[in-house]
Amino acid sequence: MRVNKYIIFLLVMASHPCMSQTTIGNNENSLEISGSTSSYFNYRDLSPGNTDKSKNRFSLRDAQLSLEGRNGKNWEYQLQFDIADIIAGVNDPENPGLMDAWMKYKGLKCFDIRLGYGKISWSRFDLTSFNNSVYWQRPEFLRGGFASMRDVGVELSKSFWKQRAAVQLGVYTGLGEVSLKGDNDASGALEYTGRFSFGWPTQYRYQEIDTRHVKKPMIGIGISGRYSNRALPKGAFFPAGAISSYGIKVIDGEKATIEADAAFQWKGFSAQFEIVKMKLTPQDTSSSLFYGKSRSQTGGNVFAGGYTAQVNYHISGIKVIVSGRYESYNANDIFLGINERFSSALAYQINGFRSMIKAQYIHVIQSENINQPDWVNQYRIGWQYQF
Amino acid sequence: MRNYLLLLLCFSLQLGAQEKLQPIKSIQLDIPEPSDVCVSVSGKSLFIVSDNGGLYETDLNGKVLRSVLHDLVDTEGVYADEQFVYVVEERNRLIKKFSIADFELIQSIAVPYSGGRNKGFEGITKSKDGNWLLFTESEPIWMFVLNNDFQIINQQKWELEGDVSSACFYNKSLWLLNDEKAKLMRVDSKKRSILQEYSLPILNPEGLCFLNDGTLLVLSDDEARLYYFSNFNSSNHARK
Repeated sequence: MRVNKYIIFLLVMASHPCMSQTTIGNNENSLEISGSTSSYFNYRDLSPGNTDKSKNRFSLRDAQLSLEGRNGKNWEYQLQFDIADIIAGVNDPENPGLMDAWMKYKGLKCFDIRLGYGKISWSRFDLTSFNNSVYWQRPEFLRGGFASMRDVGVELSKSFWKQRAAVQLGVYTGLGEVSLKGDNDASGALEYTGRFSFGWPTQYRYQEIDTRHVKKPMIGIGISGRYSNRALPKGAFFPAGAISSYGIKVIDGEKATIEADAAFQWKGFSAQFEIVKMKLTPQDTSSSLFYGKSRSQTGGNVFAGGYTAQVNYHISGIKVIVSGRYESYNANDIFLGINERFSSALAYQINGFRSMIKAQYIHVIQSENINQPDWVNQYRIGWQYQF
Repeated sequence: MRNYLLLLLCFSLQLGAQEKLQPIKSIQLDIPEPSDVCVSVSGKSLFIVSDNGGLYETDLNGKVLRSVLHDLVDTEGVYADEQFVYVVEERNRLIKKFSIADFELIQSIAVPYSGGRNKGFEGITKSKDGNWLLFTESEPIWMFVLNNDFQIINQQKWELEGDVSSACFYNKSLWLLNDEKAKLMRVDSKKRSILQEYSLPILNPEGLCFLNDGTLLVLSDDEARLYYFSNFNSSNHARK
């Protein structure tokens, strides 16, 4: 009897209608309207000594609307925003109010040009859409606290070798999501980015889960770099929110970042790995990033970064995805300690990624005393729905 | 508990195993992002369209003989008769009719569809009664039936797992290609059901056609490769 109820439930959920995007056009120009909404319940086990349980709540994560247009053969544009975050006044880099506002020209043979506000091409985990992930959160060091996910700027891109390889080069204001407020900081410096990615035997798309159960093993690799050298005049400060709670997102000095990633998929199994190294050279030798250490002790540099590994399996018969992830990161090598987390996720695809129930568990194995969480376990379960 | 495990096992094994096809050969194409293929009526050449806007005529080994590279956008389907080759522009919801003799654009026909921009028409073929069949890719999969004047006379929704990336009528049967599940399906167009299905060892299969000798050709978009499978006439693959 119980099994019968289970089967009925599955059939009802599997037959749940899900509207797709809507397109209007005049047979030359087209505008696609789409969106998504997601909500979850969050529960935290607090670490000893903490009593604030305000994060145990339901949350509307997304109320997104996207307008994506094509004009003729060569012009593209996108405007995507999240009403939930705009109304709440939240400026979470992983889940911002304005997500995309750019135009792209594809009429040149040598490269495509994108101008405006959007994702920076640099990290596989960042470039993978939230809606294509079984997790509610990306690895901690890749969700906008160590480096920005979006910015205003120009990006040149080119794919070649039957789209197996791609290069992106970008120049951005460098203040990340805060660049939307208008002015640059007083240094007037910019940030320069570059990424090279390669897939075999074909292009490797930014998707974590092998829902297609590809018949041939596929690998994707990528390497990225970011550089900025910002020298603030004496007495000047960065705009509020620019440096993040880790204090390293934007620094008064030189910041060089290198990232490498790899991904694999075959017959429903998939895995991702990513490593990030940052070299921070504050111009002020008494910068708080040195934690009182002298130049002879630090060499004038601070290092930060981390790595993460994730494995996933898609069980097509029951439309379930299981995943596990380990991450290790260090926000400042001068300050003693590192951070380690383990996450696992389980998702049920009612209608692919368009309608999916997903649950995530995060356990803090250890943490250093920089932006230290007040919890040790976090449970999150909710539903994402794209239309 | 045992029932739950049995249920899980059944789903995991994906009951109803498909026949696996193995190609006899494959050819790397010098065409970027090829998205559909059809064979000429003479059976001596192929017409191939490219995602980034291009129509090519090739020999049966995929060597490009001539091409049209302008006035085309997001081409995803192709069909040829004695005089004309018909190209589907997915994003623009257009069927473009070219003269085979000189690749001159003769006519553009709009077929309205307000689904997702990349969920538009992917397959075009003609049924045995002479009507055009146009398939949308997914979410949902629609089969539009158009008469010879390209007027929509019927529109039917198909409940298939995955998508439709190409369509072809051969040996009195309708054949569909499923890119997402990498499989070939022989279907009953009236009942909208699958009669036979075959697993393809190909990444991103986007186009299919049959040569006159029954050889099946499947096009991989991402690989830009044309796969050949022997002979659907001499086996029990194609039932009349």
